[in-house]
Amino acid sequence: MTPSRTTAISPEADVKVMFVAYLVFIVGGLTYLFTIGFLQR
Amino acid sequence: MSVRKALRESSLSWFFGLILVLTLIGQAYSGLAEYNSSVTMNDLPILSIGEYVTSSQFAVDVAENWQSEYLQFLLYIVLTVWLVQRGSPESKQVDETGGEDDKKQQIGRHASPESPRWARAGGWRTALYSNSLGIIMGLFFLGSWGAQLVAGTSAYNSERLQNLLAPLSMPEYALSSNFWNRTLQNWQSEFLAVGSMVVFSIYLRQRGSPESKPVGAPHAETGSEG
Repeated sequence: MTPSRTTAISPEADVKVMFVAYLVFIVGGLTYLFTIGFLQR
Repeated sequence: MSVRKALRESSLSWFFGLILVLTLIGQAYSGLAEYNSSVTMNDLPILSIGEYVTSSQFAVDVAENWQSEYLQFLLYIVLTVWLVQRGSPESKQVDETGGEDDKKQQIGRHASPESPRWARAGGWRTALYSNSLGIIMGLFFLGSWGAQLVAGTSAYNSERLQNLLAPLSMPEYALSSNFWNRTLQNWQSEFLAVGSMVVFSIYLRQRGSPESKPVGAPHAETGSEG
Protein backbone atom coordinates (compact mmCIF):
# COMPACT_ATOMS: atom_id res chain seq x y z
CA MET A 1 0.00 0.00 0.00
CA THR A 2 1.32 3.41 -0.91
CA PRO A 3 1.59 5.55 2.23
CA SER A 4 -0.88 8.40 2.08
CA ARG A 5 0.04 11.94 3.11
CA THR A 6 -1.98 11.46 6.29
CA THR A 7 -0.17 8.31 7.40
CA ALA A 8 3.18 10.00 6.79
CA ILE A 9 2.32 13.01 8.95
CA SER A 10 0.11 11.61 11.71
CA PRO A 11 2.71 9.87 13.91
CA GLU A 12 4.69 13.10 14.10
CA ALA A 13 1.52 15.08 14.84
CA ASP A 14 0.51 12.62 17.55
CA VAL A 15 3.85 12.99 19.32
CA LYS A 16 3.58 16.79 19.05
CA VAL A 17 0.14 16.67 20.67
CA MET A 18 1.66 14.73 23.58
CA PHE A 19 4.48 17.28 23.92
CA VAL A 20 2.03 20.19 23.95
CA ALA A 21 -0.33 18.38 26.36
CA TYR A 22 2.43 17.86 28.93
CA LEU A 23 3.64 21.44 28.50
CA VAL A 24 0.14 22.85 28.95
CA PHE A 25 -0.45 20.63 32.00
CA ILE A 26 2.74 21.76 33.73
CA VAL A 27 2.44 25.46 32.88
CA GLY A 28 -1.28 25.40 33.72
CA GLY A 29 -0.57 23.50 36.93
CA LEU A 30 2.10 25.96 38.05
CA THR A 31 -0.18 28.91 37.27
CA TYR A 32 -2.92 27.26 39.33
CA LEU A 33 -0.58 26.61 42.29
CA PHE A 34 0.72 30.20 42.24
CA THR A 35 -2.81 31.57 42.00
CA ILE A 36 -3.98 29.56 45.01
CA GLY A 37 -0.93 30.64 47.01
CA PHE A 38 -1.35 34.34 46.20
CA LEU A 39 -5.14 34.43 46.61
CA GLN A 40 -5.02 32.84 50.04
CA ARG A 41 -2.36 35.10 51.46
CA MET B 1 -2.97 6.18 11.71
CA SER B 2 -5.34 4.17 13.87
CA VAL B 3 -6.06 5.16 17.46
CA ARG B 4 -4.60 1.86 18.65
CA LYS B 5 -1.34 2.52 16.80
CA ALA B 6 -1.17 6.07 18.10
CA LEU B 7 -1.68 4.81 21.67
CA ARG B 8 0.98 2.14 21.25
CA GLU B 9 3.56 4.53 19.84
CA SER B 10 3.11 6.91 22.77
CA SER B 11 2.26 4.31 25.41
CA LEU B 12 4.91 5.58 27.82
CA SER B 13 3.58 9.16 27.78
CA TRP B 14 -0.05 8.01 27.97
CA PHE B 15 0.70 5.67 30.89
CA PHE B 16 2.49 8.31 32.95
CA GLY B 17 -0.15 10.93 32.07
CA LEU B 18 -2.88 8.59 33.24
CA ILE B 19 -1.24 7.55 36.52
CA LEU B 20 -0.36 11.20 37.14
CA VAL B 21 -4.04 12.17 37.01
CA LEU B 22 -5.10 9.17 39.12
CA THR B 23 -2.49 9.75 41.80
CA LEU B 24 -3.26 13.47 41.91
CA ILE B 25 -6.92 12.62 42.54
CA GLY B 26 -5.80 10.12 45.18
CA GLN B 27 -3.59 12.75 46.81
CA ALA B 28 -6.52 15.22 46.85
CA TYR B 29 -8.87 12.80 48.62
CA SER B 30 -6.31 11.37 51.05
CA GLY B 31 -5.00 14.87 51.81
CA LEU B 32 -8.56 16.05 52.43
CA ALA B 33 -9.20 13.15 54.82
CA GLU B 34 -6.01 13.89 56.73
CA TYR B 35 -6.72 17.63 56.87
CA ASN B 36 -10.30 17.13 58.04
CA SER B 37 -9.25 14.66 60.71
CA SER B 38 -6.73 17.16 62.09
CA VAL B 39 -9.19 20.09 62.12
CA THR B 40 -11.90 17.97 63.73
CA MET B 41 -9.56 17.35 66.66
CA ASN B 42 -9.19 21.13 67.04
CA ASP B 43 -12.94 21.84 66.62
CA LEU B 44 -12.38 23.76 63.36
CA PRO B 45 -14.66 23.55 60.27
CA ILE B 46 -13.95 20.71 57.81
CA LEU B 47 -13.42 21.34 54.07
CA SER B 48 -15.18 19.95 50.98
CA ILE B 49 -13.04 18.42 48.21
CA GLY B 50 -13.51 21.59 46.13
CA GLU B 51 -12.34 23.78 49.00
CA TYR B 52 -9.39 21.48 49.71
CA VAL B 53 -8.03 21.38 46.13
CA THR B 54 -8.15 25.18 46.06
CA SER B 55 -6.40 25.46 49.42
CA SER B 56 -2.77 26.47 49.91
CA GLN B 57 -2.26 23.25 51.92
CA PHE B 58 -2.98 21.15 48.81
CA ALA B 59 -0.96 23.53 46.59
CA VAL B 60 2.17 23.38 48.74
CA ASP B 61 2.01 19.57 48.95
CA VAL B 62 1.84 19.33 45.15
CA ALA B 63 4.49 21.99 44.50
CA GLU B 64 7.10 20.62 46.91
CA ASN B 65 7.07 17.30 45.10
CA TRP B 66 7.08 18.82 41.63
CA GLN B 67 10.10 21.01 42.35
CA SER B 68 12.21 18.12 43.61
CA GLU B 69 11.42 15.99 40.56
CA TYR B 70 12.36 18.77 38.18
CA LEU B 71 15.52 19.49 40.16
CA GLN B 72 16.43 15.83 39.88
CA PHE B 73 16.07 15.83 36.11
CA LEU B 74 17.75 19.21 35.73
CA LEU B 75 20.80 17.99 37.64
CA TYR B 76 20.83 14.65 35.89
CA ILE B 77 20.59 16.18 32.43
CA VAL B 78 23.19 18.88 33.03
CA LEU B 79 25.66 17.10 35.31
CA THR B 80 25.94 14.06 33.04
CA VAL B 81 27.53 16.38 30.48
CA TRP B 82 30.61 16.56 32.72
CA LEU B 83 30.32 13.89 35.39
CA VAL B 84 30.63 10.21 34.51
CA GLN B 85 30.37 6.79 36.12
CA ARG B 86 32.39 4.00 34.60
CA GLY B 87 30.18 0.99 33.91
CA SER B 88 26.84 2.82 34.09
CA PRO B 89 24.47 2.92 31.11
CA GLU B 90 23.31 6.30 32.46
CA SER B 91 26.78 7.77 31.85
CA LYS B 92 28.61 8.76 28.70
CA GLN B 93 32.07 7.37 28.03
CA VAL B 94 34.53 8.52 30.70
CA ASP B 95 36.78 10.28 28.16
CA GLU B 96 33.92 12.13 26.42
CA THR B 97 33.02 14.69 29.07
CA GLY B 98 31.89 18.14 27.99
CA GLY B 99 29.61 19.51 25.30
CA GLU B 100 31.27 17.49 22.47
CA ASP B 101 32.10 18.79 19.00
CA ASP B 102 29.61 20.05 16.41
CA LYS B 103 30.05 16.98 14.22
CA LYS B 104 29.07 14.56 16.93
CA GLN B 105 26.18 16.81 17.97
CA GLN B 106 25.02 17.16 14.31
CA ILE B 107 24.70 20.92 14.49
CA GLY B 108 25.48 23.79 12.09
CA ARG B 109 27.04 22.48 8.87
CA HIS B 110 27.06 18.95 10.30
CA ALA B 111 23.26 18.92 10.59
CA SER B 112 21.27 16.68 8.26
CA PRO B 113 18.16 17.75 6.33
CA GLU B 114 16.11 15.89 8.95
CA SER B 115 17.75 17.75 11.84
CA PRO B 116 15.59 20.22 13.80
CA ARG B 117 15.63 23.65 12.13
CA TRP B 118 17.35 25.38 15.05
CA ALA B 119 20.11 22.75 15.07
CA ARG B 120 20.95 23.87 11.52
CA ALA B 121 20.43 27.60 12.07
CA GLY B 122 23.68 28.35 13.97
CA GLY B 123 24.23 31.34 16.28
CA TRP B 124 22.01 32.00 19.29
CA ARG B 125 19.22 29.76 18.04
CA THR B 126 21.44 26.67 17.95
CA ALA B 127 23.04 27.65 21.28
CA LEU B 128 19.59 28.00 22.86
CA TYR B 129 18.23 24.82 21.30
CA SER B 130 21.39 22.95 22.37
CA ASN B 131 20.45 23.60 26.01
CA SER B 132 16.66 23.63 25.72
CA LEU B 133 16.01 20.45 27.70
CA GLY B 134 18.06 21.64 30.67
CA ILE B 135 16.55 25.13 30.42
CA ILE B 136 12.95 23.90 30.49
CA MET B 137 13.65 21.59 33.44
CA GLY B 138 15.36 24.50 35.21
CA LEU B 139 12.39 26.79 34.58
CA PHE B 140 9.93 24.19 35.84
CA PHE B 141 12.11 23.60 38.91
CA LEU B 142 12.27 27.31 39.75
CA GLY B 143 8.58 27.73 38.95
CA SER B 144 7.45 24.89 41.20
CA TRP B 145 9.89 25.85 43.97
CA GLY B 146 8.48 29.39 43.77
CA ALA B 147 4.93 27.98 43.93
CA GLN B 148 5.98 25.96 46.99
CA LEU B 149 7.23 29.16 48.62
CA VAL B 150 4.08 31.17 47.84
CA ALA B 151 1.58 28.44 48.76
CA GLY B 152 3.75 27.30 51.69
CA THR B 153 3.76 30.80 53.19
CA SER B 154 -0.02 30.88 53.07
CA ALA B 155 -0.46 27.34 54.41
CA TYR B 156 2.04 27.86 57.22
CA ASN B 157 0.49 31.17 58.21
CA SER B 158 -2.96 29.62 58.42
CA GLU B 159 -1.52 27.09 60.90
CA ARG B 160 0.18 29.88 62.84
CA LEU B 161 -3.00 31.94 63.00
CA GLN B 162 -4.89 28.92 64.35
CA ASN B 163 -2.31 28.81 67.13
CA LEU B 164 -2.60 32.59 67.69
CA LEU B 165 0.91 33.24 66.34
CA ALA B 166 1.80 36.20 64.08
CA PRO B 167 2.02 35.34 60.35
CA LEU B 168 5.41 35.32 58.57
CA SER B 169 6.30 37.40 55.51
CA MET B 170 7.38 35.46 52.43
CA PRO B 171 11.12 36.17 52.95
CA GLU B 172 10.75 35.07 56.58
CA TYR B 173 9.04 31.88 55.46
CA ALA B 174 11.81 31.28 52.90
CA LEU B 175 14.25 31.08 55.82
CA SER B 176 11.95 29.02 58.03
CA SER B 177 12.51 25.43 59.12
CA ASN B 178 9.12 24.47 57.62
CA PHE B 179 10.17 25.58 54.12
CA TRP B 180 13.56 23.90 54.28
CA ASN B 181 12.23 20.74 55.89
CA ARG B 182 9.69 20.37 53.07
CA THR B 183 12.41 21.11 50.51
CA LEU B 184 15.24 18.96 51.79
CA GLN B 185 13.14 15.90 52.62
CA ASN B 186 12.21 15.78 48.93
CA TRP B 187 15.69 16.52 47.63
CA GLN B 188 17.42 13.82 49.64
CA SER B 189 15.08 11.12 48.32
CA GLU B 190 15.63 12.22 44.70
CA PHE B 191 19.40 12.24 45.11
CA LEU B 192 19.35 8.77 46.69
CA ALA B 193 17.19 7.40 43.87
CA VAL B 194 19.38 8.89 41.13
CA GLY B 195 22.62 7.80 42.78
CA SER B 196 21.23 4.28 43.23
CA MET B 197 20.19 4.14 39.59
CA VAL B 198 23.66 5.19 38.44
CA VAL B 199 25.47 2.69 40.66
CA PHE B 200 23.11 -0.31 40.56
CA SER B 201 22.89 -0.21 36.77
CA ILE B 202 26.61 -1.02 36.61
CA TYR B 203 26.10 -4.56 37.91
CA LEU B 204 22.36 -5.22 37.59
CA ARG B 205 20.26 -5.57 34.42
CA GLN B 206 16.68 -5.23 33.23
CA ARG B 207 16.27 -7.14 30.02
CA GLY B 208 14.82 -5.00 27.23
CA SER B 209 14.96 -1.71 29.11
CA PRO B 210 16.78 1.22 27.49
CA GLU B 211 17.70 2.28 31.04
CA SER B 212 19.79 -0.90 31.42
CA LYS B 213 22.75 -2.36 29.64
CA PRO B 214 22.09 -5.53 27.62
CA VAL B 215 22.01 -8.50 30.02
CA GLY B 216 25.28 -9.90 28.67
CA ALA B 217 27.14 -6.59 28.54
CA PRO B 218 30.31 -6.51 30.66
CA HIS B 219 30.12 -4.62 33.96
CA ALA B 220 32.85 -2.26 32.77
CA GLU B 221 30.88 -1.24 29.66
CA THR B 222 29.77 2.37 29.97
CA GLY B 223 26.91 4.21 28.28
CA SER B 224 25.31 1.32 26.39
CA GLU B 225 21.57 0.72 26.26
CA GLY B 226 19.79 -2.64 26.32
